[in-house]
Amino acid sequence: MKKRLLPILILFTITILCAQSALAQRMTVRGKIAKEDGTPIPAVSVLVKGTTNGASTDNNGEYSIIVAKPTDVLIFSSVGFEDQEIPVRNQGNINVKMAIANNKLNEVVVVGYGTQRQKDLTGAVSTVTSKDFNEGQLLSPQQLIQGKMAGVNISVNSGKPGASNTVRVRGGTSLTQSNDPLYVIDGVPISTTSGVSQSNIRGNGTDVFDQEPINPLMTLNPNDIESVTVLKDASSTAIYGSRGANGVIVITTKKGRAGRTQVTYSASAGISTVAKKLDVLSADEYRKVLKDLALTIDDKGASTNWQDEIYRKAHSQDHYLSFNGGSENTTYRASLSYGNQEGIMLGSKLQRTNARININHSALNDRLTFDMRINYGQTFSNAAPVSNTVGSEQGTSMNYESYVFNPTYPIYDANGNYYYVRPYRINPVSFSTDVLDERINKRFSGSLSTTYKILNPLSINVNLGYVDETIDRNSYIKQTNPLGEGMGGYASVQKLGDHSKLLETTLRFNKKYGKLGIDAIGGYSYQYFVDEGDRTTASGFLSDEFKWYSLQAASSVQSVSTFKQSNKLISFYGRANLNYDDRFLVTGTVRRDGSSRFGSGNKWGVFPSGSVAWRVSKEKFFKSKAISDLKVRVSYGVTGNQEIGNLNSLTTLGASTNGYLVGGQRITIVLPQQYANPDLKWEQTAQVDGGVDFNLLNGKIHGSIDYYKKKTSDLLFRLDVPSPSSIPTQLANIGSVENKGIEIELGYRIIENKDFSWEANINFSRNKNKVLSLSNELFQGKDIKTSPLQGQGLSGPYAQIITPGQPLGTFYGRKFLEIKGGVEILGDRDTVIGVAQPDFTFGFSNSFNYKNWTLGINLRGSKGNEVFNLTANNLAYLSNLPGRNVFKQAVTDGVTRDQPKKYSSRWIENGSYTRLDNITLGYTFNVKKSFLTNAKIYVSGQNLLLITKYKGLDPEVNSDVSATGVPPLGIDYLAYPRAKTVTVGLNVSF
Amino acid sequence: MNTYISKVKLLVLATIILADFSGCTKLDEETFGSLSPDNYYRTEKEGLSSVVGVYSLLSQVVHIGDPWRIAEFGTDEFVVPGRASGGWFDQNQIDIIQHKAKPDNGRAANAWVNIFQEIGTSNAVLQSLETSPNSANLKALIAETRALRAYGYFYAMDLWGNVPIVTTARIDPSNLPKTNTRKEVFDFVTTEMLKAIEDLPSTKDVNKSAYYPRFTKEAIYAALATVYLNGLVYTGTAYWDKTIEMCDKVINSQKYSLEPSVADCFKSTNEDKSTELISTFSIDATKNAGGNQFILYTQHALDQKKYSLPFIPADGYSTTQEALDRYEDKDARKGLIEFGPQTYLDGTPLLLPNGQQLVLVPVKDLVGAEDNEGYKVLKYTPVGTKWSGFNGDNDLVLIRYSDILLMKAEAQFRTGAVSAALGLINQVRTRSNATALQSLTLKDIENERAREFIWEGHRRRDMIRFGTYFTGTWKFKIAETPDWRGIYPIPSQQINANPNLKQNPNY
Repeated sequence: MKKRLLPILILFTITILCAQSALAQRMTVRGKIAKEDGTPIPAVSVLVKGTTNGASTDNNGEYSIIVAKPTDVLIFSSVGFEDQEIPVRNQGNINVKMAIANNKLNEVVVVGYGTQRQKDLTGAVSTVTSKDFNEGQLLSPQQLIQGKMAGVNISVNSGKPGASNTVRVRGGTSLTQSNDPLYVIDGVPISTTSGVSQSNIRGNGTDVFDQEPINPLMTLNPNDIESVTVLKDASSTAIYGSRGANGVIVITTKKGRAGRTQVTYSASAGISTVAKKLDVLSADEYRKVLKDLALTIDDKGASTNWQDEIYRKAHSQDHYLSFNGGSENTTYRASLSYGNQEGIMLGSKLQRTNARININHSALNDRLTFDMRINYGQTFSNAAPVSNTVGSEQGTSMNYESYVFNPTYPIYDANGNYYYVRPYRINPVSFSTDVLDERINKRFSGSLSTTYKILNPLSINVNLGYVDETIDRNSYIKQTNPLGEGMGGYASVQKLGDHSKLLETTLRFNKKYGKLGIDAIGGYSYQYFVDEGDRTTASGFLSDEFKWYSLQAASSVQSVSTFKQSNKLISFYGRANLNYDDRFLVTGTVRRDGSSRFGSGNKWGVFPSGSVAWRVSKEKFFKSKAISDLKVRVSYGVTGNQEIGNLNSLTTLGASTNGYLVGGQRITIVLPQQYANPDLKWEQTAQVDGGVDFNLLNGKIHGSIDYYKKKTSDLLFRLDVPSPSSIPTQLANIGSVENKGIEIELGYRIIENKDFSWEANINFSRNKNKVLSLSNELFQGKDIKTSPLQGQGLSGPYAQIITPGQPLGTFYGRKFLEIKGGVEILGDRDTVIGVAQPDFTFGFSNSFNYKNWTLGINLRGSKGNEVFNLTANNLAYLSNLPGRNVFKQAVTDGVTRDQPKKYSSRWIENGSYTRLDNITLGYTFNVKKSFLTNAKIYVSGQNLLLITKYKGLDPEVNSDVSATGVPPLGIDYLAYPRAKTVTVGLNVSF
Repeated sequence: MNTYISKVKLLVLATIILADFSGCTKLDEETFGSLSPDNYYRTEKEGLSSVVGVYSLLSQVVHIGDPWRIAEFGTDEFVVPGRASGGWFDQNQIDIIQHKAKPDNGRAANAWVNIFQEIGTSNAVLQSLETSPNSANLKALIAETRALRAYGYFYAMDLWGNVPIVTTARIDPSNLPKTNTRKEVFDFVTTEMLKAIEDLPSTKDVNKSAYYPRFTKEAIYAALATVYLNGLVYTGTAYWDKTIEMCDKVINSQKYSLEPSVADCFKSTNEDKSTELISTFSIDATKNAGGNQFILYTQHALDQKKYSLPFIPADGYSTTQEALDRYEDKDARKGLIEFGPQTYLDGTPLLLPNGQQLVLVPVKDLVGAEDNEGYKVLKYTPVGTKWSGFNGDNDLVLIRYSDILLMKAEAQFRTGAVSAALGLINQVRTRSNATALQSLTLKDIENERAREFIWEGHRRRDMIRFGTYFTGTWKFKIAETPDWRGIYPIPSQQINANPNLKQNPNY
């Protein structure tokens, strides 16, 4: 692998490299690098400035390097330490004590359009760098930081490979629009909504293809990420203006480091098993219960636990190879990875391939720098048919069928064919072979950032970015399965593409006038997004072998459709950071955004913010030795949300896929799609934040506390239009929502000895969400019902309500009182019966080091959130029998068979939990006498322990019961279950 | 080295220039194939592409859509039980079957959405056609759209009684529509239909094979006959003479006659050739132009074998013993009902997997019926049908000529012309080989309509007109129904969206 990649890299490097100097008066320099306490530091990079000549320290911290001339300068650098430059002169021996890159204060944090030192921040920003990332096999980049930050709540929507995440920064601001934060990868903001609306391709008879959308970050390898910063308050997000209201997640990938080429290889292999199964009647219990109820039993004599049949021990493996190195002027880092992950449900898997090259080059005495980053990622996945929107009739979800399918049936009949209970019940195992749903997702992204120092202190940066993504989704239902029988086999071929281009020009002014430091930027940004796609469905195949490979073998093409849409965002922005004597820090930001999505009168919006901070500890009067640093800060600002989809401010007509025959000739139906709302404007969020950052005992303890309050107004909401209307809903700005809360982050290096150390980090967040109003001048809104119930006997009514005074995710229905005489007694009217939002969430991570051993333990939890167990609501009633199996609970609860299913507070459960997210034990080898610079092995367990009273599979699932691509909070319905995973892995570098 | 530097400088310069010049600030949306109503409706063809969309929406009143469901579910000829084998249980349906629907009934709410979407779309299309620069040449199309809108209002009036009359495409949110009385809606429907007739072509003047199944003058006369026949229910005033007048307009066109058998009206092979069909909706699933799903919703699973269907029917919709008992054995129409032992078309027994013959029995358990419970109505025969998945291509029937004869007969009977009425009734009966009646009562007329139009969406209207909807009881409707249940409640989500709407009395 190395041999194939290196020539390419070298070629690449040469194209932007100029000639290098030759060697002259050679001499050897030796030395030892150690921490301030004398502990040697291995793997420190030693580089002769301005050359590619480099070396690194061994396990005893010793190095030796040949230098050309006495005027050479050596640069010592290592992650977590401050760089040092030392001129060689005529010293043959240079020993260095490296200072720990202090106590976080000097850590450089990537913020929007630039970087800042931690101590200079005036806004609420959380950051996690690669050394603190979660370990083990990670499903997605978001999981790197799960549980690591206050105010950032990340939950995986299900356990399937490549599952999407619900990420909320300081609560949701929007009622029905996207509450996802903006992702900025290496300076390029990406669209997370592309393809979302297209992910659900279910139709009449093809509910089985209702699948959650793909995680937009799946094509980014977590190993390539250097840091993840979350911008939380308006002062830090306002630079992203109309896209900042839900927070901004800034992801920076690793750059190359000057010095000898370093090769890193890591590999891991894991085994996953389903974390929990549900308690349905066994075959014997089923027989007995049916007999007791005097129901006819269709007994095939077997005893099958269908859940055991569809879950498996899933294997996964991951390989990652990277090179990095370069000279003082040019550095590169390249990586290649391959991963293969089986899902715990039969038939589901994900393969992933990524390649990345990051190249940095500086020229003209560092006046001109280039930063180019290219990433290509590809995932290939097979989905298990797990639908969250199973209606009332035919089985269209693999795990639903595993709960309800007759347990007295064997899997196969005497002829080796699947057994079905016609017409509705589909053999759970048959889904894995008969329903195919594959997705190939390819994503290329590249950016080139060029900075030129025009004249000190003025520099200009031009950032060009391009993203091109395609999703191919091919689906097929075999005609041998009852699901596809009616259609004679059914194929759907879908291709989606989205691309975006970005151009940004930023002028930067950075200068110190005495005690006053000024860092100001002004810029212009243009970003253009295009989405397009096509889909063909066909049925009536002569043979199941044709599938989507030969659509011409279908007897009828059911539908052909194509679409294309675009949007544009043009912005002007400016920011000034003033720093007076490191004591007073002031930041002012303004962004003016123009979006093509809004009505002609409201295309432009201005988003200002300001913040001030005072480093109290820098004052003369401040004489505490214990407190090394103390900063108080306050910010206020306005941000927006533009994720409303395209063409919403115009009146449009559109061609449907349906037609109508007149005189035997087909006429395509063209009907109004929507009515213009030229008054449509941005959702705006005004946020105030007050915080304290502190650093005690010279960095032994550090932390921050924030209080915030934000109000989102002009909420974009799809109103029911009073009838009669050709269009049942319309987008309008109504009402407001408030979020307020407290966040605490605390880090403590409890023990720091030569052989043993223990560091703990705790974060705590409390967010209170409340809908303030649902009215505007024209519309007096009171209650909006959302989240339709799903399932046989239940579908129709809604589970949640949006109403002033209550938070988003409020459950609304009848109160459950008791079971009396075999009947559920419910309250006589609908009331609030639960809230999906937690009282608080927390994360607690520990890392222990003992000699060569490391141990990391991460816990995460949530308290006070409630979960609607819609799965139990469907399966814990005897009325399911005999056609559908039930939970054991249905027998013991005492509700009689003639009572229909009812939605009530009986199914709203306490969803508080504490989860052992990750526990990793690692051992670092002594590699002194080998060619290696680092070797480590580890064993890691994920999701090994979950403490909760919740009776369903997992309280931390969000099922997309509304089939919109945006799952409502706190509803558990037929989710793809989570896995427990154990991984062993290895990292080596040389 | 020098050239390298100058190249770099050039690159930087170029990039900066690029940055400056691509910096357009135009933010117009690109529409990519989405049309604007301001410039679309210029030709008849373009106009028709939207008008056919309205037909397609209206077709739900005679398909398995919710408007048809709520017109059938509460009658003595319909039942859909929850199956013990899983499936079909729906409290909304059971509430309608038992005459207990509440304002939050999901079926009734969907029916409202469907019908008012048809009305709203008519309004939108009408407004665009009327403001088109070519509107002078679109008069017939405009009339057709008005008729479609009036048709929607007829169903709204029939199901909910008091509904808002709106004729603008967009509702002003600061001036929300108010509820109109059923009488006002009646006047609107009749006036609009009469107005539309002026510009519609007559069946006599169109090339049927090219024009089918669009509305003609006669189709709307037939609709008006239905409206007037129920005028007493809607307004408190009888319109029997008007009913006769409208029926005569259809009869006198001399374009219609009874087919040899009722079954001929529902075959996918007959359709535009039929002499009996007055209003229909075209269906051709193989061209993705609508789909007829009666077979899927109704028939027993074994009918897959009987008719070589490409799918297994779902055994849902059923009819009752009461409906079956109305037919004498020699009545050909009894052949459209499936009951008792079932056979293949050639008469060999249709066998269950356990080897026993399938025997259909009446529904015994409304929430947990066995698979053989429920008689089936099979009007849209699958013989000769072309399938695309679950969808057949039998056109949907809205009004046929036998209805004109029976409506006229009823109006004549009620105005004293008994022997003329008896003649018309017997004309319909003889066609189906039923014994000719010697004398006539209102009950005979009601029963004849029930026999002739089973599952065609008329029964609820008829039972209300004859009073049996309230006074009658049957298997799963065991108590008398109060009069106020003659109309459905206004769906609560509609009252939420428009607080000006008034809930119907007693709901």
